[in-house]
Amino acid sequence: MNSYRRNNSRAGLLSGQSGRLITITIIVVLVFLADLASGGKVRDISQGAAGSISGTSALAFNAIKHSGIFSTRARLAAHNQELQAEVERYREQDSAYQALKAENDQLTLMAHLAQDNTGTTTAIVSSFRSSPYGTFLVGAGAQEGIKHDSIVLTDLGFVVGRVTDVSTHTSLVTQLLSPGRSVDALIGKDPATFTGTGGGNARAQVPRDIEVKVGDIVTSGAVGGRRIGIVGKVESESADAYSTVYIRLPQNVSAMRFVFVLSSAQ
Amino acid sequence: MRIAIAVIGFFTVMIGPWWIPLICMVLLCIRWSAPEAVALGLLMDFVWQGSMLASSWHTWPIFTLIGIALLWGFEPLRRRFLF
Repeated sequence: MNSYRRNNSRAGLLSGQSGRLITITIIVVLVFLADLASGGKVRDISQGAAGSISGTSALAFNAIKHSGIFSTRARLAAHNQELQAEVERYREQDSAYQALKAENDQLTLMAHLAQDNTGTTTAIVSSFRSSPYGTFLVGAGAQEGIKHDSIVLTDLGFVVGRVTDVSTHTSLVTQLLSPGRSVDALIGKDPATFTGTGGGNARAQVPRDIEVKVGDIVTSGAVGGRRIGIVGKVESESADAYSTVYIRLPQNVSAMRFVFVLSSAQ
Repeated sequence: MRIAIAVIGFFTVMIGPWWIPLICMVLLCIRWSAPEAVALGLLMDFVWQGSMLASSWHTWPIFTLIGIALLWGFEPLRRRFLF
């Protein structure tokens, strides 16, 4: 059935269907105004719902992944059924052990972090790739003592972002090095302005006479002089007056499961 | 079909990569005069964007604006070729 038949109607833009479009546009504006007028209530409800759905989905996905349903089916054709089931069982146990060990290691690091700082260790409840704005949700909110503008640290003590929205039981964190965002920083003692490229990465142009090497720590006064990354790569052309310095967080942000939210903004 | 695309869009706002809802918005607006596309953009901005109080382009509701632009932009095409 072809639904793309030519319509020879010459109705003007402001008739029928266009009136509907105008209504939709007005409703959208009203929703935004309602959110602003209510101090972000609509946004809070949306983020709370997204946090719950995202967290539940992640749990369900992990349960299915670790159950071995998909992997077992593919292998049954080639291997003995009983032996394979046993192998799978051991693998599941090993996966569960590895997952618990990784979680334990991360929480141990967080515990060390908590000894030197006041704050809350909380789980990340959303995927980093879901947000086009370089943000992610954590499973703690106003009820758990999270405050607006608090600094968020990785388990190694590097700044990953700041809390920009606080709901009842979830908070929205904006990554410090989110795409297009600039941050003034120091490579050792030399200043540079880094532009985020997402995923905990950023780049900056620095004069060639500044000595920068891979592994140098980068700090920023914008987050109380805390570490924001390490130099991962330095590119320099002999004809250029500037070098391009790439920095990154020492761990993969997508693999992080917990963050530490400081109780203060500095 | 329209409901399926909208449902996929709404779920992936929360658990999928950000470009899937965008594709859903485009698909919806190409074929239908779909307020769901704008609702998808609105939800995307409400969930993932920080507070609008700070004035920078990072706080512009980009997905909502894209939704409205798609809805209006594809209207002449729909008017010409669809019932």
